[in-house]
Amino acid sequence: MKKRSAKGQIQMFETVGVLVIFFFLLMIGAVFYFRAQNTSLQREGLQASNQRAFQTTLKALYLPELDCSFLKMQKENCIDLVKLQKFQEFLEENQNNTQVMQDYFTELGFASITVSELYPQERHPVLYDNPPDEFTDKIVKKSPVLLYDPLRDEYGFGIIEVDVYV
Amino acid sequence: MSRAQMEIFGLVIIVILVALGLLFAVAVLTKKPTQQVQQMTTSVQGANFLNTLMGTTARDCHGLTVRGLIQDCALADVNWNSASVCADGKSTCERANATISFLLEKTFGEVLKKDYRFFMSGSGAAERISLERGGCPNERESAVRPELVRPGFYINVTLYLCDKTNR
Repeated sequence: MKKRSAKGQIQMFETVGVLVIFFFLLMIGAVFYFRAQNTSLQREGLQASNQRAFQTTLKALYLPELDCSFLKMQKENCIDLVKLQKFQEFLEENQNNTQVMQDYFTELGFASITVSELYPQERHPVLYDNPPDEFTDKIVKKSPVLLYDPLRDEYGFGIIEVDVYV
Repeated sequence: MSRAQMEIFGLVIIVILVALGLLFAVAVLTKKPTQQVQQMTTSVQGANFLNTLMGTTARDCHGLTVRGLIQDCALADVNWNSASVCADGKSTCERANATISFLLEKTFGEVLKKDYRFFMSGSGAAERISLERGGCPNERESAVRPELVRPGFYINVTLYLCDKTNR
């Protein structure tokens, strides 16, 4: 009778041991799974932010306030320097005008846009600057752009930099 | 099958499952998240650079754009002797070389921090304009742009871009 009970206890310990190992493996699996999910979510978030930065760059390039248009034709990848200067002045003057800032916020969101002229001369005018009070990361997109000087009818070479805050 | 064999068999299955799980975890966690986006961005930057470069007006050369300089240069002889001359006495080929070199260095050397290789094919004179930084011998993104010199005569302008670490 005593021998039987000891054997039963060993079998019970064995079952408990197997269960402990099973739950241990299950927990490790769950941890890996949630880590993978988290990484996947982060990646999707980063991709979405990258896409938003890309869209903001395109929006800035094709804003009617800045584009190079000749009669009915719009030149691709080009910013008019006179329009750029006027637009900059307009935004500075209306910094406290909620309606104006709200309109451009809808289009450009929390971002900073700088257009740097590299050739024939070097200038770095900031076009739009609207960072949020708090942000965790900043995605920077830089792309070459033509800068048209309508007064001299010449094209310069510049870089448009879009910083999107996330 | 004896009890001991069954237990060993179960253990082997568990080890295989754990190994598979670990492989999956390593694959997911070490995958570079934005590699494709990065490749696309570099490719777009290359195409945009060529597009912008071609439309840029060169300094002191009868209002010609870089495209105009290249078109004139492509028709010259290999030594650039028969190329047109700009206001400062330099040939269109020399001016194209200097302007492209300056813009490549400014854009990719200073601003975008990438290595590059720029070259043209289809004309002996234009082929002498070959510029590089690092050279991009391994993994790279490329942008190719055919440019019309005169009807039926095209030259290809190619730009390779790669990360600075890829040397």
